[in-house]
Amino acid sequence: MDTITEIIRALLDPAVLPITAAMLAGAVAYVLSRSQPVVCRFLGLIGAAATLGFATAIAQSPPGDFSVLWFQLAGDVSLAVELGPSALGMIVVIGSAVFSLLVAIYSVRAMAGQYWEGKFYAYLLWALGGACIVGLAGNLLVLLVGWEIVTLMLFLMVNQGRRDAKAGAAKAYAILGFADACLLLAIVLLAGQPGGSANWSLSGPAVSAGDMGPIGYVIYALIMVAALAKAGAVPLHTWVPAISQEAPTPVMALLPASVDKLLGIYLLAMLALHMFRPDAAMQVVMMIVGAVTIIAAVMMAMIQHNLKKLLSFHAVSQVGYMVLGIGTGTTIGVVGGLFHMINHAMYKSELFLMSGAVSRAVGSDEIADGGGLARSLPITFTCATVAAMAISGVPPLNGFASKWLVYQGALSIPNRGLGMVLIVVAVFGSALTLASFVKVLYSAFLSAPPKGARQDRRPVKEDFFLTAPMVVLAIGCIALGVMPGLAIEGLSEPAIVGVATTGAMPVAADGVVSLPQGLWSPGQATVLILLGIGIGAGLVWVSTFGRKIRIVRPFLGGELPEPSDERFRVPGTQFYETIRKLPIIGGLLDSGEAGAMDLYHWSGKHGGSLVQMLRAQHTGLVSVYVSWCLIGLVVTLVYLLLSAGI
Amino acid sequence: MDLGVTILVWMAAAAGTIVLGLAFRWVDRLVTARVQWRVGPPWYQPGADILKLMGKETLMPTTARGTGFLLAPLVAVAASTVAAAILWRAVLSPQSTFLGDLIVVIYLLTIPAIMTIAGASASGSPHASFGAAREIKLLLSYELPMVIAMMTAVARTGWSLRLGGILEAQAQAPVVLSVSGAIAMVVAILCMQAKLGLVPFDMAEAECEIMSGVYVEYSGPSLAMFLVSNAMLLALLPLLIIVVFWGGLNTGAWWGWLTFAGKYVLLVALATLIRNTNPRLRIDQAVRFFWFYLTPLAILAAALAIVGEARGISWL
Repeated sequence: MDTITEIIRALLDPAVLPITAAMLAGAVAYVLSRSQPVVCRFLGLIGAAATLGFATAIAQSPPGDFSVLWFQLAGDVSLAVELGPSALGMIVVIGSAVFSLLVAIYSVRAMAGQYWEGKFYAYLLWALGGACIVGLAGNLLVLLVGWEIVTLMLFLMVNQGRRDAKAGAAKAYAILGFADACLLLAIVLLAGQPGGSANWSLSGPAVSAGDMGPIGYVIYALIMVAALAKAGAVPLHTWVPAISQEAPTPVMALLPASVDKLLGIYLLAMLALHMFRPDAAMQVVMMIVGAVTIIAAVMMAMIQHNLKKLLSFHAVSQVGYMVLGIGTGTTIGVVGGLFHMINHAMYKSELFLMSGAVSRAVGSDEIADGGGLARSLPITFTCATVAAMAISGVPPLNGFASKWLVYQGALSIPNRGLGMVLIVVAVFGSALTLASFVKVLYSAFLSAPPKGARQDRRPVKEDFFLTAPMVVLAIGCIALGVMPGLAIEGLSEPAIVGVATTGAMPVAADGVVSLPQGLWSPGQATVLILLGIGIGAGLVWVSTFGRKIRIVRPFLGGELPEPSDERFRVPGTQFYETIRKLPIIGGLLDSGEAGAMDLYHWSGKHGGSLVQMLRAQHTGLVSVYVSWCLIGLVVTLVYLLLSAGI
Repeated sequence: MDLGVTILVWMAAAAGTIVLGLAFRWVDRLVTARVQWRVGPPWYQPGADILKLMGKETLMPTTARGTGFLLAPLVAVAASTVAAAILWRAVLSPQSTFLGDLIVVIYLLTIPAIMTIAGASASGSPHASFGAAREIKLLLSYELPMVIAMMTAVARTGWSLRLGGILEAQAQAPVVLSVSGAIAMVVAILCMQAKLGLVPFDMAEAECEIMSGVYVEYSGPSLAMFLVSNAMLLALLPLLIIVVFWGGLNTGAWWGWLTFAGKYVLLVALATLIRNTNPRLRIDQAVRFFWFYLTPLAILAAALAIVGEARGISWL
């Protein structure tokens, strides 16, 4: 009886409440999933809202750390459930809860009538619970549990998707499972080091990786692999495009677009700020991974013809900016990288929601099938334009604010030449991003619809449940762009504390580190831009006073085409054929399409030949098997004898 | 600085840039006319064109998305005015600039091109669509060498992304008086030509081929706004090059203003000369030119600058 009360008391601890709320609501939804899918909808909304509420309460008045010793292993290794709310962790928790809530609202319409609608909400809530565990975790072991839950939920949700979803889900699970295994291995290795399980702490100051000898670098690399795979950085990114086409849109908007980014970058930040002090070489590796990710993924995105696949390549490309920012190890760069994580989650999840609305309207994800939607979906179009401008880093939107910080960080690293290359890559990456979103907006919303599309298309209208989350996210993109101070203040505290402890920044005499003064003030620029538009509009209005805009036929050199005449329709998919035909670059793009950057593909290919070699040894002769067994036995014996010193 | 002063600075910079831009447009047209053995227009012609267009009615094609179509030229002008305010403030009082304003200016100066693309897409005209596709590819192609060239100047001026810092570092000698700086400035001038949409990089407009492409459906005040925005770019891009590579305005000496004006007119006249002596390139030729010829050149400049900076060789 005592144990039960103790468990209940633990579950109702203020530090645990967000996790409890999400997990419990998810469990109830799972039980009711078959019989009462409509109740599950409400559970999804309420569960996410409750989690958000409890998480906000923690952020406002942080409760003490929660710690329960579960199991004392030999010596200094103890398995304990430790939760310690930190500023950065709470941003992850609250962010995950907000995105879950928005996706739950969107899904009320988007998932309605799906055979697994009830289960979807259960998985969504459990994924949120997992994200909360990660954000609240006080040590790596607890973090791993939440990490695994999110991976599993991603697999379960993607698996329910369309036609070939299972192959993509398996690929995602293989890559993310590999990442989880890396994290587990790192945990085990850490426990074997002096200090034992104290090494798992996520709140202590960072230590130098070199202090542990070569094993320290191995551990560092393993954790970095786990974080980068979750966030989706090159070369462990391929699971994102692989699941994008077949997975349900809300799943894409929730996990790869926002929550997985929050988790992956959170772990990367924890690694660099609270676990190991990265030395110069590690920082260079991280920054180069970031730069390659930016440019390789965005080049691939530009030539995609499937809307969701295009978006998923951008979801990879943008990770590059975050990794680059954190890799710089400077306060301003780290703040920029973390800020970009929040911004990216906002606009990318908006864009995935947009892609869902578009494919509902058009009945296809192919860019070439879209067109003419700006008239029927004006709000979706406006929100998508805001998000597209934000992801391309057009000032004064949020994407620009964070990229700008990252550039500053890149220029203040000791190796100036490298910093310069990084800035060029990052700026050019955002020009390429812009280019591919020009294609998306033009093809989906502005171009004429393709022939034959008009007859069988349903008349589409804006839908409250689909539109409301997009509007909220678009407003968020504008607000954080105009007033980046809101986020920067929240982020600079953990970043500054972290960077100060890693010793990457010179600490002032009084021990206070602060951001450089004289930052770009987007507020003023925004006022000026709005004023400029206002004055211009006023001038135009005065000069055309009393006259109406005359609607005329477009000028086509005197031709009077039928509305469905394909000769007068310019499809957006042809925009970048010129670039595909270029020497060198065209070839690189083609090999990229064929999977040259795909570690999964490579391991599959070479793993296959390895299996063939092993298979060749299976002759079926008992004598061969027995001799192998004997050889193994002898080797083991020799090893044991030698290690016992005999 | 409080908002009132900022707004005043901004209005002065915007108005000045528009006047200057229209004046340069006149220089451009006059030189062109002389090259072609014509007399050329009177000095007020570009302004008169704008005023005339402002008085015309607005036409909108049936295929257009009204809001985007009409808003795009206004946003283009508004963004140019903010860029003008930042640049002029850097020229006139280098101490008052903020951190990283070079990046802000580079980004703001791409907004007119983005808005041209947006307006063209929103017009729903096939001619404009071709123009938009070419414009975005052109943007991609010149952006890469342009940024590398700018970073070369940043390397030569003590790694500052602040326009004021770049100007202060050039107090002794401008960036252009070094091998890397000269190469980078040539690259930047060619990128400026493309950013201004002047021949040989006017494939997005291509009057005789796709009938002004991106602007085909624009008329009256909306077209006037695009012309204003283009005129502002004609004043701002040479100014950016002067600030980043050529020492800006050296007010220390009495001839400071004079040399400043001289540099300015020289750059505009150079652009006019290039546009009058070259045929239009195809878009794929332009992409190849910028990516396969100018980008390696810019990288060479950047490498020289880094080596020069590391070894302390000031002429490299």
